[in-house]
Amino acid sequence: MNCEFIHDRIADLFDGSLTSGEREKLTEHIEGCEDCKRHYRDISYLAGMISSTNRPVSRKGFSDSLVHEIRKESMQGSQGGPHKIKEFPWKKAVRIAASVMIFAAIALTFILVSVRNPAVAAEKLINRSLVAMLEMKSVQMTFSIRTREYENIDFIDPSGGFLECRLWKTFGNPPKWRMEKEGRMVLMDGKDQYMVTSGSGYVLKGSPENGFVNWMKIFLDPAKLLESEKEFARSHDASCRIDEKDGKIILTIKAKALGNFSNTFALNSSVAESNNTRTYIFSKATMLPESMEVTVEKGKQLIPVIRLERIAYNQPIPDTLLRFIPQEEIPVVPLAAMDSINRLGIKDISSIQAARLFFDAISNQDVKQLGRLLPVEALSGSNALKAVLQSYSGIRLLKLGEAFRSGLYPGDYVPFTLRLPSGDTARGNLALRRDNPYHAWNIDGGY
Amino acid sequence: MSTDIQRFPQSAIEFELFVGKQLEGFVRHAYSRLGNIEDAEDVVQDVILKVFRDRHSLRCISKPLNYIHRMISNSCLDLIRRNATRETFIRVSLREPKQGIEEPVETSMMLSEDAMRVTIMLENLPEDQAIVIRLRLIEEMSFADIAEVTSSPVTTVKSRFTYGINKLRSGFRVKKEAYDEL
Repeated sequence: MNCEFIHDRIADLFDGSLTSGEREKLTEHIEGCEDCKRHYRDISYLAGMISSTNRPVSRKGFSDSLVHEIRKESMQGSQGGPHKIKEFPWKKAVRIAASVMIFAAIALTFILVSVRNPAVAAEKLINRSLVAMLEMKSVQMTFSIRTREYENIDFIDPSGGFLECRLWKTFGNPPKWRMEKEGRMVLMDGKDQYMVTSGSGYVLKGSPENGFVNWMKIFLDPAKLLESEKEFARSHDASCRIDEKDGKIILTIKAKALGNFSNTFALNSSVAESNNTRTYIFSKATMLPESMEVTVEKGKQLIPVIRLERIAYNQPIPDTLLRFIPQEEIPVVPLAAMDSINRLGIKDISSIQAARLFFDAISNQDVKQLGRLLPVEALSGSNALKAVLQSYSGIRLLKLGEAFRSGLYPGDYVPFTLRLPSGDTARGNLALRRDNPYHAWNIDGGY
Repeated sequence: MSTDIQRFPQSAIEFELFVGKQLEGFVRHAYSRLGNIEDAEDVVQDVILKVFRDRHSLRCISKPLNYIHRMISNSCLDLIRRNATRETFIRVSLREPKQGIEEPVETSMMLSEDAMRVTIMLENLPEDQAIVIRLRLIEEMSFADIAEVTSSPVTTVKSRFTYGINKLRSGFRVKKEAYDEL
């Protein structure tokens, strides 16, 4: 192996294509040859210089503007964006004659397609609305939701009364938002999500993408909301209709419940888990949605469960509303830390056995055992576990039923019957899940 | 580098993520060919929007990164041909300082001067050699991927790299010695 050969193979040393044997031979020669060593050292120095010094480049805002163009293109895509086509002069006359016929054909096709395929018409409407939303800075919404206090933000109860739920969002970089109802608030301050539940004694902290508001997150971005409806309109499970009345455009989407309903327990516990109808009202002038309503089917009844009463666009939102202010004596529990605690969780048993251990822990006032099933409480370092034990003091488990799954819930429900200290009997379904890396059972509530 | 994306992004969101990750590399590539950041951004924007529109018909392209680099390369050549002459340019961007470590002023200045010299020499290399060096050392593409982007055999790509880097080395040593003597 001579020096010239080495110099010719220098490119290979910068690629991963050499076999270990070849590399060894080359480096062995380089190590033993002053000339080649200097050559390689010089080239490595230059390579390092080039790779670390040439970092211009794009101007501030270019990336955002390109993304903006992609979105615009995406929205206009189905409407057929402008395409410039070079044209021979002799074709001009033919084009004029043809254009009359083409226009008539397109108009007829559009009418027929719109009439025969409402999904296409809905998509066009949504695309126009999405274009109108591109410049949005903030949004505020007020909903009325049939739900229960302190329950998850996305929980609905068709037989319950209406509670107010409010949402604020700014579309800055990073975006910030807040959603709250009686007894529960979820805040994303640009870095983290916080879930505050009144009386729980702790605040849960998760990543910006965490699912504390579950399906309600769709309301955080009206553009995404409409995108999702666009997907629904395309799917076979949804039908849609467009009406026009008094300067408003009304889009109605009928969707079937999602999830496993071999047991109908979770049916109608959320919009996604309901046979539902979603009605959006758009202003014809601005093409922005002004209100919406969700109704769910319960037997033969149609029950309104969500009413979006008010949407305000681009109104100033006080920064204090979107800032998390910790309170003394209320610990903030990082959700990520639950994984380590889940190591202690209870596994290799059935959900019914885990439910029994939970009620045994309550009967025996066993904080340690309870902590293994309620890891959040254990992490908080608060007296929340003791508070749980106190509030259930004196109850007695009478019976556990067969575990079942229902709807979109990723865990099991275990039916229970309790004897209360008053002598009354109480029935419910304990929700347990083990979709964590350790497959350990956690008590997740229930109703 | 290009092997981690094996499928042409189809949805708008996938596409945005893909572009967000690769955008600087695309602009650097165009800039190195054109020497003008506005032109470079225009070329990249046109190419990106074109492939976005055509994404459904491009779904069978197994290496979208290479494909887009090739389109950028071709668009730059078209623009250069249209403009007939290409202005020579000098781009100077100093090495990013390492956080928490401050180099002595003298060393820092020396590196800056070296960087400037290398940059100028790179600009004066034949285009086909300079582009291979940039794609390999700055965009960290393999020679096989560069061959795909430049529509040349791998052996040719490697030769261009070797010729180019050896020329840089010779020129750099001569210039450095001359400067050091001053």
